[in-house]
Amino acid sequence: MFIDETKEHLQAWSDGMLNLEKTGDVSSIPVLFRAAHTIKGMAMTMGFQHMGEITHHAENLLDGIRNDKIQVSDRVVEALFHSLDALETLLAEIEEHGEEQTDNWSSLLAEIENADNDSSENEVAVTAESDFVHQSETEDIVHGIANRAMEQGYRVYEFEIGFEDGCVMPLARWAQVRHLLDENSLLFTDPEPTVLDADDYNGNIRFVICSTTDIDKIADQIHNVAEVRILKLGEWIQKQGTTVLSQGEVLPKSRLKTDEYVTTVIKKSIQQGFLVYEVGIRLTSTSQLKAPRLFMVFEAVGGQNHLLYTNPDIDGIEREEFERDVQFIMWSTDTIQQIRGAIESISEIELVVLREWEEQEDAVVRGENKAQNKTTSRKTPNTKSTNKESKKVSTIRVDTDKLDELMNLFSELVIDKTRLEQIRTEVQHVGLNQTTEHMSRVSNQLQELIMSIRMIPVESVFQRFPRMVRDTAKQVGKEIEFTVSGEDTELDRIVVEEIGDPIMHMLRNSIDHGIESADDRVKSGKSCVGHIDLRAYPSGNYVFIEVEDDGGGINREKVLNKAIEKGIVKSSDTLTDQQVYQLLFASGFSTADAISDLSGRGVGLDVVKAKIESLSGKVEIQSQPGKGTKFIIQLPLSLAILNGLLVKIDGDPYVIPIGTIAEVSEVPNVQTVNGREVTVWREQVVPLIHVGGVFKGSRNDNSKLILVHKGQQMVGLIVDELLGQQEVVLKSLDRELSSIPYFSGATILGDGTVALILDTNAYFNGGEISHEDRHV
Amino acid sequence: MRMMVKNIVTGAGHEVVAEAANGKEAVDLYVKHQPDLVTMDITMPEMDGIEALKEIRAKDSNAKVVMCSAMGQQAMVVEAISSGAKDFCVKPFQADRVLEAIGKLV
Repeated sequence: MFIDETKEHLQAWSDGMLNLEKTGDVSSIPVLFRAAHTIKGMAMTMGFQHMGEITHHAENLLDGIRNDKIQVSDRVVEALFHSLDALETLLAEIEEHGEEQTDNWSSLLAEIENADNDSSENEVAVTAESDFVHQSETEDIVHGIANRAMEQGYRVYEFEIGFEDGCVMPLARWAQVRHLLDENSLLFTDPEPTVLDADDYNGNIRFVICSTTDIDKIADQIHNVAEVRILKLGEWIQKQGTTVLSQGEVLPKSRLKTDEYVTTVIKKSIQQGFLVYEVGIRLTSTSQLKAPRLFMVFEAVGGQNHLLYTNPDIDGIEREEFERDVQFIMWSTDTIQQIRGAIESISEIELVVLREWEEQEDAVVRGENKAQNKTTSRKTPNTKSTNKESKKVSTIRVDTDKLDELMNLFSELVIDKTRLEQIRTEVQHVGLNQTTEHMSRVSNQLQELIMSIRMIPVESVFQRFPRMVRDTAKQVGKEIEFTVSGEDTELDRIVVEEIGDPIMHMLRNSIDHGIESADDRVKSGKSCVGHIDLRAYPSGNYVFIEVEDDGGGINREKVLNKAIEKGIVKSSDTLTDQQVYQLLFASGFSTADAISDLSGRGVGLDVVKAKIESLSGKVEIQSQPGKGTKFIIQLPLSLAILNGLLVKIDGDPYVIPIGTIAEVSEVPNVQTVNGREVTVWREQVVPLIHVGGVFKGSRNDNSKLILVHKGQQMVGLIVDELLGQQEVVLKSLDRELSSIPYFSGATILGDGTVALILDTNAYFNGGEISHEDRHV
Repeated sequence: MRMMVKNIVTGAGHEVVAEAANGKEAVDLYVKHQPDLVTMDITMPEMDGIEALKEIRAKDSNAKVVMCSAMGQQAMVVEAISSGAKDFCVKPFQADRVLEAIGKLV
């Protein structure tokens, strides 16, 4: 949640910066200041020092501007942009690794400081101090509470608990824990009671209690509450005049006492003359590769074959299903000293428990803990942050996984609905008729509603373009005015995520190749500032996204020549303008004379086209030489429900997406060219494929021809029988099947049979179809 | 729903001595049979789970009751625990979770 909110603030910062740069308007400053300030607060609370430092410096700079002490100069603007970049980098690191990685920000900090030339050394000192204010306030409270309770003769314990991943009612579990404690013994909780009383907290809870019983007894009781994990525990004690927290062992003792299998195994090992040790280790909080560390420990004590018991089990360790503590029991011939030495020599590991198990009469008992009990000072826990900011009244954040699940379940429902409709036609039953009709209506509405929930405005992907256009334009030395419209047009969220890169590429293209240099533009009577417009608008079942520039347009000759040169087309071919422009999408194509850093490497547009087609979309180019170019992307509004043609091949049903079908007809005259069957369709030679033949079987006389297209190419598929048109729900295939190129998914038909959905693209790249065949 | 719990429970070797269709019945049957453990839904006709829980606990302060709840009823589960429920399970049930909860109490 920290990540999401910070991203929002960084976006606000970015928007504010662009505004500031454009207009020099100081009204953006308060917005920037607030963004920096909020990010600083959150970052410091979470313990992200670098983000905190950088935002602190930026905040100072912004404050200076706010108070008219500093002028908005280019240097200032650059410094603020660089800070933004740095924060985005750190945030990405946090997102991926859980913490900041890059360390050396001194040059950036210096840049920010020197941007105004007025900053003094004092700034840095102030930063260092304020970093700790946040953390120590809570500590003081806890110190005070602990002291008072100890004065009254109680023992003061502190616990931190967390909840297992599948726990859906963490606060109910917390209620169970509270129930175990005496009424008046709960002295302090972090987060505070108001948060815990609300319904939606699910992070860790740190609490302090006073008691007269042994901490072990309390810990055992807490261990007994399902789905609760004790992350830390300790007792506050007086040591050399100050109050400190003495950390205790967290490992689940109760488990061990009752696990008979383990005690039997231990007994056997001892009887065989081995020494049996129980070891508990804790990883330091900065340890990154938890599983490898553990395996290093196992190697150090003699290897995994010495292990009698581990908690979590070996698979759990490999999957890193633990926070910091791991417990294991092993047999060995080494002395306890040697084992201790071996483990302590491994970095990032703290030895918390080391006991020897001995046989006593008929049972086995654990010995004393010989590991040193370290007294550590409190560190800021790495807890999930709570969303303390108030929610907007009319919206809530929804977990995208839940949305996917919703969609999934709904598509199952659609399958049943279709099945019912089929049954309805078989069985004449008045009640059934009415019910299924009503169900159809309701499920259609539900479908629209769910689709609309999955839809998000394209704004979320459009908003990063202004900055990128600015940077790119600067890089190539052109002045570009970039306008965006229709950002509130909605698309399925997956499409929105995926369409970003293609649009980015088209924008780069426009900037790099489309818009001429300022000189050229003036010479042809245009303004020296180039214009690029990004537009999105819905139309029918589709959404259109246009990237239009007022640059030089596409040079048809140049493109054609290059294509002939590369052998993509023949010089004798006649092509319409559209067809020529589409050549730009051919792979390996580039007309840039010099490969600039951005585009012109010839690998871009074909990938763009493939990506758009993978979203079931199309892309078209319109261009006027001298006037400009427009890319038009057409995207469908929904992904998962597909209009398909049901066909029979070799007795099994298959679905061909309607969008790929150009025409359906009887099988016409078949000719053989170069050993392959083709037919002539509208003056175009189309290769034929017996779909049945591709899978196995033969051809029969009821066959029909289905012409499918991919871009400009056509292929004719011969199927055994047409079964009709149907709306089907796309279901993905599991890994084994999805590697077969001919199928893009599967669906369950109304009568319950499974039909595979053909990926018609696969028939185009058989390798056998070359351009020679296009002309007889 | 009761079938499901019954199957899980008897599968583990426990005996179901009574089943109630509503909260009121539950309280009456508790007094009559004095079971070792009760599993009870929060949402029930006549008298809901929280009420029934309180009445049972009033009659027998050692009563062990495990609440069954649907997702989204967290606040009520918290109330149940404050009123003396020993543990809870959330639907859809996982057999091992249910058995774990029962195992700890009997």
